[in-house]
Amino acid sequence: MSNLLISLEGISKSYRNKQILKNINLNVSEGDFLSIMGQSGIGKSTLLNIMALFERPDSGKYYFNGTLVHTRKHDVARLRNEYFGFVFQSFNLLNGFSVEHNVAMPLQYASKIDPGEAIRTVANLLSNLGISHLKSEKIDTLSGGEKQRVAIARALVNRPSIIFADEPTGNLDYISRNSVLDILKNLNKNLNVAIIIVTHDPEVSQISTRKLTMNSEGLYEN
Amino acid sequence: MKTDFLGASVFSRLNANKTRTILIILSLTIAIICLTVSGFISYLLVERATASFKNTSENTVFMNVDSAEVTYSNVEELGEFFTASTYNFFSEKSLWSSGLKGKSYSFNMLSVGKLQEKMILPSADQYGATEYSRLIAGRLINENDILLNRNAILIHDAIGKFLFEEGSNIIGEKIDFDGSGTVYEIVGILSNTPDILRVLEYYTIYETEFSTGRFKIPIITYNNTESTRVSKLLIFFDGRISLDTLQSMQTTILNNSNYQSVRLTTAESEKRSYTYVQAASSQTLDLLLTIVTIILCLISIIIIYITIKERASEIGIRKSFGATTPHVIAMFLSEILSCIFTSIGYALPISTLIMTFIVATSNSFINILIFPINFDIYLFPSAIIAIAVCFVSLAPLIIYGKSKIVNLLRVS
Repeated sequence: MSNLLISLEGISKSYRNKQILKNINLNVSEGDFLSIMGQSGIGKSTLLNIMALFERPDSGKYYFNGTLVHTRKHDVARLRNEYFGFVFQSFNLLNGFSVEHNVAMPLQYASKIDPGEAIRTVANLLSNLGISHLKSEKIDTLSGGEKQRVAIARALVNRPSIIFADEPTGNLDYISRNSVLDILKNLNKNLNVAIIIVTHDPEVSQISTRKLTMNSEGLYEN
Repeated sequence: MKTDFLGASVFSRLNANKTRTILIILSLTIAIICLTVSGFISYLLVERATASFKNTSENTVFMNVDSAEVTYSNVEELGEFFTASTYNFFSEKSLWSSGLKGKSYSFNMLSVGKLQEKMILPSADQYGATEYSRLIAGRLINENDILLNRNAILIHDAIGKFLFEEGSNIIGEKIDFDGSGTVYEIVGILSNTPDILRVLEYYTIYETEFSTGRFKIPIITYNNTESTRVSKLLIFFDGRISLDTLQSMQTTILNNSNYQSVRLTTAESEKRSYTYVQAASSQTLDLLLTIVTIILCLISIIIIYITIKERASEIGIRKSFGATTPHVIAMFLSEILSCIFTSIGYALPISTLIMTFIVATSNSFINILIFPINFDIYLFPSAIIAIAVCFVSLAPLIIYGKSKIVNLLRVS
């Protein structure tokens, strides 16, 4: 049986007196591939941001590896750094910096860095994702597909347990989209990395193993 | 792959985004140069405007010459005063400019700057060219003049034009400039020498004169011209000067309509006057440096603040991958300090060159001599700027460092 990574109990969140999330319960285990679909503004990204520890819920409990997550910022930052990886729709790469620098950036904040191993890790990631020839390129010069691959490499550099992806294919053409989905699928299958993906695209949802739908009533697993 | 991309050094980060860093450094460098040089020019203007007030009668007293000869102790005081801290540099430069390097002659230098227009270089013996003059006609005083005890004299071009018909050949002309009856033959004409690498300071050599029993006294005149510029004429005489000679010379100079008064001062009073002017100049300079520092602080803070604001999304991205507020502050402060000190490193030598050029090419006045064109004076303001910018930068850094990641990412 897979280990439980994230457990949400009764999570609620409001913005300006408008209830976005109400009493959400969700468990995410190792190797899960979750997709969350729903209308725009229904709270998918908010749920993802709470799971990614970008935001705090108004109420409810968040467990990671069976431990209640403390609200101290250093603990949260450490969790994000050691266990989480992020892939954004708008890539959120550091423009003006090289591919290599972007991919290695999370290592700057890791508690233990072995420079030699870090260098090998970055090189291997770039090679596995087929972008090692871009390592010295500036982000501004890359195509959308290339940027998303760099973003995935960055998400993987700390060997995370979970990758959170918010509309990762939203800004990509058809070929790039398929390529990114293949990468995510392989990561889930080969490295047993849990993936939580928020999407509007049913085809993206099709590759997930757990399909969740969010509406005004709550979160439902199909 | 290099290892420094891991953020081990400040410069690895700076190198990663060269364009932005270069723009910041360039902006700060230009700002520092502009403000430093404009501050310097302001200083000159203020000095020019206030110069007439600095040389009033309270700064000078008549020398109490009640004996026929000036005593040795007077000379010693002068020597101690005028040779302070500047002796070594002069000795080599003056020998070089006289063309007699390696010889054992001693030289005395007269006034500099605008004063050179009224400069006379008398020479019974052992006088050479000044550091701030170049020979434009004739020759320098040479070994034969000294060996033959020839009364040779170098005069400034302006003096030549004043004493003789303009355009006439005055080399070989004889003048009795102090009314003592001693006639000197003009052997050369000097003019000012603009030279951007020249440090305008006041130097003289007294040691050799003392050892050979020679000494000098100053005669100081104040010339209030229409532009209220103060000219100061220092004439150093060789040998013992009688009271009659001094009075005669005073009369001679007073007869020159360009001068309103001639005063003979003691070394002590001259020292007081000099100190007074120096203190006033120092106050002016301090005031200007303070203004420049404040403006530079504001400029630096604005540049840094805009830079931080523009990089809000970067802070969000870094935070989403584990950066904490201290990480963010440390990263930005290291970049800010690097940019500021790099800018200062570029700006100060350039500013100094520009200011030295201004000094060397302008007909300025004596107070320029005590303007400190060196790095030391700027180190304290530079440190103030760096500390102020770092301190003020903390506020936006802490605000952004503590902001919600989702808000920061929305900026992008």
